[in-house]
Amino acid sequence: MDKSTKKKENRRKHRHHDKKSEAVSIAIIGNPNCGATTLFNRMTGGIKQKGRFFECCHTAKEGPVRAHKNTTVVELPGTYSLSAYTLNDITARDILINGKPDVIVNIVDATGFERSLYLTLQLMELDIPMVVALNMMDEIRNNDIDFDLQKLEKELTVPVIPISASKNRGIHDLIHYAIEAAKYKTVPKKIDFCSGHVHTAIHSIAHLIKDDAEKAGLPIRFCCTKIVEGDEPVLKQLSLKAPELEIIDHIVSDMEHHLNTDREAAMADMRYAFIQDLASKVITRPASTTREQDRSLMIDKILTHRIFAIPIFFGIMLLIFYFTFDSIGQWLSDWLGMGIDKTVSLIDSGLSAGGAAPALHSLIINGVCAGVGSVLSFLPRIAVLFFFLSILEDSGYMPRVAFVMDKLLRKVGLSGQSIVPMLIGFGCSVPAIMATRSLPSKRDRHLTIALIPFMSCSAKLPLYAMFISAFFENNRVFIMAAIYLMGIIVSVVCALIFKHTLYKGDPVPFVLVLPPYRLPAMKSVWLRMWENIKEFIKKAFTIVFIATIVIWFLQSFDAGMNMVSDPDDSILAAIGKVAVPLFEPLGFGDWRASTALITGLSAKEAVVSTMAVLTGATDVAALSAMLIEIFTPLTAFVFMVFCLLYMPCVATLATIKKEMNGWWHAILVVLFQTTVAWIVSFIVYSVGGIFI
Amino acid sequence: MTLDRLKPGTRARITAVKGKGALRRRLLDLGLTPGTMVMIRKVAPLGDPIEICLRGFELSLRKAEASEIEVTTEDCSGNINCSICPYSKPEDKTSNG
Repeated sequence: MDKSTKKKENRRKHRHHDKKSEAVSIAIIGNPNCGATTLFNRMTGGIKQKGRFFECCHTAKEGPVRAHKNTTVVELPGTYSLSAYTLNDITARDILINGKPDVIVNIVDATGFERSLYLTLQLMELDIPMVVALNMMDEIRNNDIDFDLQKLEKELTVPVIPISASKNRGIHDLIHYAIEAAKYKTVPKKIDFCSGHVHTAIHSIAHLIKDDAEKAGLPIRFCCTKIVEGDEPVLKQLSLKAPELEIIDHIVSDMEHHLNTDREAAMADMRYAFIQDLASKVITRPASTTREQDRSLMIDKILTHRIFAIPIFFGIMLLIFYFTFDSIGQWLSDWLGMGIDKTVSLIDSGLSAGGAAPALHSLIINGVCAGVGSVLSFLPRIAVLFFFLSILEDSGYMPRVAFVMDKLLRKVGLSGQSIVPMLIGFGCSVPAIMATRSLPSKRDRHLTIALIPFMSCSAKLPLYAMFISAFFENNRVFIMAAIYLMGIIVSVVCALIFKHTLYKGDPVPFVLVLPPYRLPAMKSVWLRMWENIKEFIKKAFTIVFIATIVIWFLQSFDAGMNMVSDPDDSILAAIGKVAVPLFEPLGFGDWRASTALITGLSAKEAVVSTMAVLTGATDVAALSAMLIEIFTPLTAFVFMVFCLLYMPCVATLATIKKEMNGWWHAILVVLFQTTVAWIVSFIVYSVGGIFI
Repeated sequence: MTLDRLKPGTRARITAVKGKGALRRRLLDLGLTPGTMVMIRKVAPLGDPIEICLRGFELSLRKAEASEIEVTTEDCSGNINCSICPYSKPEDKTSNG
């Protein structure tokens, strides 16, 4: 109580303070893969927090700027244009227009100048103070390309700061100029990059809708260009009356007639004409390609090779899993496991020496230590997996995979772009589901989201490892591969079924920029890995911790609150036995197995911790021995398959609900996945029964 | 002629972007405006999509999308616009320009 009032007091003080020294909010926006995330990490040191933009979108990252009080920065999802094509574009646009940041930092990839500047020109229409961060300047200088920054600044009428986010150059200046711009509210001047008939049309419309735009709180110039383009959301927001709409249509049709083109092409053409002219004025290249671009082409010759591309992709994935499960992951896991065992035995002897009550001793050793410890020992593997997935994401290889695999995926009704979220799904379903925001069609998005949980996430790793060490020690690789393949095959089959039933429809367009390959910035890779490690540890000590205590409690007492000697008499056994008939046909009718499946809904790691608590095993060896009593190799495998496929954990469910807009879809996904899990497990059990 | 019919290594100039709606705007936003030089870089291992190069970057799109883009292969060498695509090293037409 006391604490919470203090907190409130602090917050109030803080807010007051904010007003005095004027808090500044910076929004970073740029094309995808232009280094925005690296810049964000450089500005914040990788610290994220909930902020004023957090509520409207959880894909925008926000954090405090290092060494600058009251300054926050938000990184908007990458976008090529302010016209709404993907959900990411819509989010970025919404935050800029409705969130009203104090200053925009437009990060421009100097090596892809023309395409980047297309967004810049649109941002300049927003009437928000703006600074251009010209990124990748190290590459530009290495190749002796000459950028006339002064001329560029003059033409654009906004400060242009050369930076190299990956080399940490120019960040300090950038922050300085951004804060200055916010302070003095230096909005970009209205430069007339339009000419002739487009110019006339824009100005006529400006006169017409001035009042409406003011009323709607939208920047006038932005409205005009968007109206010429026929942008639906803006037209709706302005709520123009019929006569106005008629005049606008007349003006635009007139322009189309004169230019002998249509409205959309006219606007894009006008912007690109301006950019082309600008580029020829400010950039002088000694050679037509840079060394990095040449290198990228060379790499592409191998990685998207006509014959080798697909084998290379599978090879890379196999290698990643090999490092995760065998070699590196194995060594690290063994070390940590030994450390945990030592700690547990220390606690054990400490408790015994201190004369702790048997109930408390049991709670700590058989409950908490067994549960949390069993999960925690898998941390290194998860770290290794995320390390490699981060490298894949940051290197620029992912879009190539989409390019190579598109035709295969289209055969099952998905798009090549679906493969990126699916690969991320091997790490964790939550970011994977959020990554579907870059897919342009709702159909693809929903289908991909429904299938992502079949990609075995890292939280299920401890479970497989546990069963494999108990039953399949000699066939480790084979069983592990079988499980992962099973997930992929099931998702392919389901996709095929969906394609012919629920999600019929035309093939969805596939337009994807292939960025040059870049060496991943180790800082970004490390930060992303660290984030996942933190998340995993947090989960182990919160959800898994609580689950183990609850499980321990429920299995130690009976309905009359007496401590039981045989867990079979406990409350938990009574609950678990209700679910038993459901799993009887699958071969694991033991109440402990069904209970573990239920607790697994909180987090998949909890399946392992529950098993550990329920069998009273305090270390991995003991757990293996106990598992052999409950399962046969066949039912153990069926259990693994069921765990692989059945409904995702609550965190994933919440994300699905958010991304699919409603519980209805989330519930359908749950039903669908659990049904699939049951059917597949049943088939595996029945077929396996014939052979064994 | 449409973009999907060109062989890898050929250069062409966009004359019109057909189709409609969000996809068309996306193509225009990415710089596939009439008059732009493009070069067909390669075809994916399974025959679709294709990879093109324009305005100094690489873009991949399916043949279905490419068939909406009208191009001409005439007067594609020696034009100043060609320098925009830094990768474009015309294989057969340099001597003509």
